[in-house]
Amino acid sequence: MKPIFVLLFFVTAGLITGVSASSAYAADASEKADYRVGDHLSSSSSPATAKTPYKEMKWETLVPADWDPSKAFKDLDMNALNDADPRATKFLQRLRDEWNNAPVDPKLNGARIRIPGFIVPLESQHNDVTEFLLVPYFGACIHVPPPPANQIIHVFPAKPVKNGQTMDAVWVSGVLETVRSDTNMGNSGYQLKAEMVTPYKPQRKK
Amino acid sequence: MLNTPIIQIDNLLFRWSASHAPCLDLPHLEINAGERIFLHGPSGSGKSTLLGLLGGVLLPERGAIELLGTALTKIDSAARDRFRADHVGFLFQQFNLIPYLSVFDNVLLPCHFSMRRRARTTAGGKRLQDEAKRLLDHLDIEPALRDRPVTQLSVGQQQRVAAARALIGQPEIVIADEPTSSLDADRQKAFLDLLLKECGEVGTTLLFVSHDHRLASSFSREIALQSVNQAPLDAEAA
Amino acid sequence: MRYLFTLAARSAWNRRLTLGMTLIAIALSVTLLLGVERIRHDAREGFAQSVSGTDLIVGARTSPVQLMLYAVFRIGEATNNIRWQTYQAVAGNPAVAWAIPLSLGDSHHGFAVLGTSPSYFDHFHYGQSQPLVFASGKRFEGLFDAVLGAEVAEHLGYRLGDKIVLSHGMGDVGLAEHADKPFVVTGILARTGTPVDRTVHVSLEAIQAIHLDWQGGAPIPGVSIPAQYVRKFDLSPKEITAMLVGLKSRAGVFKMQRYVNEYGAEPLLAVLPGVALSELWQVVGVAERTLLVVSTMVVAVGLCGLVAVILASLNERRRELAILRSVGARPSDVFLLLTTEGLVVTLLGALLGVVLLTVLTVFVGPIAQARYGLVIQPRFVSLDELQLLGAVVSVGLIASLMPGYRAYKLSLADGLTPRI
Repeated sequence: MKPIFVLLFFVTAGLITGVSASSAYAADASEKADYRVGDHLSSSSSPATAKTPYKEMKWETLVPADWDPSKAFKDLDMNALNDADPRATKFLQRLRDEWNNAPVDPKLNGARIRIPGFIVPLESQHNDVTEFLLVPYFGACIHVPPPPANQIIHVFPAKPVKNGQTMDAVWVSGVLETVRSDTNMGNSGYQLKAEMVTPYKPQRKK
Repeated sequence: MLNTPIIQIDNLLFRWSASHAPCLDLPHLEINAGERIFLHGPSGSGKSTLLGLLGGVLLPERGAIELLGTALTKIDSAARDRFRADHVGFLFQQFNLIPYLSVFDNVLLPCHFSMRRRARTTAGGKRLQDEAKRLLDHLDIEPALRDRPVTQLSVGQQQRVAAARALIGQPEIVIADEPTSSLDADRQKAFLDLLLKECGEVGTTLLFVSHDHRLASSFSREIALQSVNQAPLDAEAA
Repeated sequence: MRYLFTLAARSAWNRRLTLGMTLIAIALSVTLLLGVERIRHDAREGFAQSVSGTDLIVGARTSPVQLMLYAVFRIGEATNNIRWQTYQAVAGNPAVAWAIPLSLGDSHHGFAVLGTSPSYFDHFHYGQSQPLVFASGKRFEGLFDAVLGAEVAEHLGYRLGDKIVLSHGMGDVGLAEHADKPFVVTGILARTGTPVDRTVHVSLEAIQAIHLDWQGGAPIPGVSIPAQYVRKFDLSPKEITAMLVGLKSRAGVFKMQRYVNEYGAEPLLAVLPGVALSELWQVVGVAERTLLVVSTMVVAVGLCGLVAVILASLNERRRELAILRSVGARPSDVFLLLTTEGLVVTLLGALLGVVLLTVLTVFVGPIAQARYGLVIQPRFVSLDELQLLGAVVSVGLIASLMPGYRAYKLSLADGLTPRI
């Protein structure tokens, strides 16, 4: 048979295999392979669209300006501690407790914001995520201490996030709400009814 | 009857490839409308090549081929295929029929490739099937055979069905390439008579190629290809 | 032109034996490809639907995937138990809205037995926050009452009031039975399409009761406590296998998870169901992709077979092609004719493959559901599957171009008089 046919045959076979394999991989390929534990997302990486009425929010802004957990420890003199001093452990525990009870900023209630973060799915339907938590850094529930309460947003997307996986990086846009929960632990948090959830595309580094 | 020849060849030169000696070298050949030509020559004399040229599937190296006033060398291959479909019916020596089509469908095959022949078949409000039936009647194919798969027909019956196919839609030219060579001797004459009768009824020009001289008497003119072809006799293209 | 299509169809029908074999090959490969995708999709769906509204699953420290598998899907076994005091500590945490204890380990004719509290029927949700609904009867009240999942009742033919005997351990045959303490069916749950259907639900106290005279997995020889005397003993649960936890504020899940993972008195693990499922998919994903690539290669093999068959037939069809040329067919018509044949066979093969898949789903689906809890929806074809089919047909078309082109060249070379 003429060489052209042998070539055509292999091209076809290669096409078939290649298309299938790449689609199989593409379906599961996630950008999270590019992130390391603790990575934050830069807010300025998205293309600015003049007509979005959302204000871009940094995670730091979610922390009320007047909250300073280190206030309690101003009197702690590290030099005065011995090695493996139990007081050091206690201070760490107190710091952590402060962190856990971090308050929300009630002034932000009703703000239309957009903010980048990572998905922790809570509920899903047909492989799409219908309810999730948005956290500021990669690996937030796996290896590192969890974020404080004012650094977690409980998101209810208007449309389920297609094929949402844990630790997918996304932009979330919508109305922020501050919620008081009814325990006397003083717990409150942020909720967001997301009008749009779009994948986060990192800016190419020069 | 036209004054210009229905087929005219001038100065024709054909070779299969640049390295070969020419296969056909015809200074002049003329066939008039309504003629029944007996073209004979042994194998290798360039008969098949000439038929290919007349059918428009081959192009000569040099020279002119005119059928019905149309210069085949001056139109593109699609036009040549169309021309062949519209104006020429072909008959081969054997294996003339398409095995997966019925007798009727085989006969009507040209009507699917040529609007002109289709129109001529259905002229006067006739149905395609009726015209096919008429031709099959004239060619002595009984109705019972028409429903059989073509592979069950004898060679003689197949040739007659093929003749019907060549004639349907009244093409101006019918080219038959040794159609009787596979038939028994006693059937050959009968087939030839039927074919000639049909061609005579409509005035079709018949170009009948054969190496069997005994049939020549029924024809209006005899052409010996060997004497017209100036190219040396050789086994046809490798 | 349309007649070419008729010619292609008639010609294919004429060689239906050989073409039929390649058609079956293509059909089977399409069934395999779509079937693999469908099982993958439905399995993921089934797993994801199994639990809803639960914020954390807590068990003895093990891998998150393993915890999910045994606590929710009843697959595999726990490495260790957790003490009742631990359950109480977690349940009493102010952030916790509810906590359901789970005790696994026994079985009934291959179905898992779950010891739990009545609050299970209040708080357990699945799918899209759907609660459990009783098809008949009600939750357990008496000590030896049992509530059956829909599949258990259907498969074993139980009705309300029937008596059943539990076996110790998970397995199909050869298990020791708690024959002296039969249970009564007081409720049958409506079908959920989750592992709940394959579970027998009893109270935690009942689990304690049937193991009173057992030690280390076998009855103590010479000791036998009849059913009517068990209440004289302390039947409060001492250990459980796992618990499902719902929080007052879902955003506080990380804090709670941290608390459980660092619980000093006992090594525990708390997982978010969504996150643990993602991990499960990662583990399974490699196998899934491999399976997909293999099925695609099978389709390629089928198509290559088709091309080979058509190519092989070309030689004996040269006469036929010459006849077509003599009645006015062009070389491009010949090309179209051959390519159309290949395309038609591919199309029919794909269609037959879909039909086969549907038939298989209808017949094998219930078996898969009964044995593995895998719910395969009988549906005709989804949008994603249509895309796959489109890809198969497109590749079939490209592959069919080869014999088409070859026929084209042959026809050009042969003209009206092929040399055979």
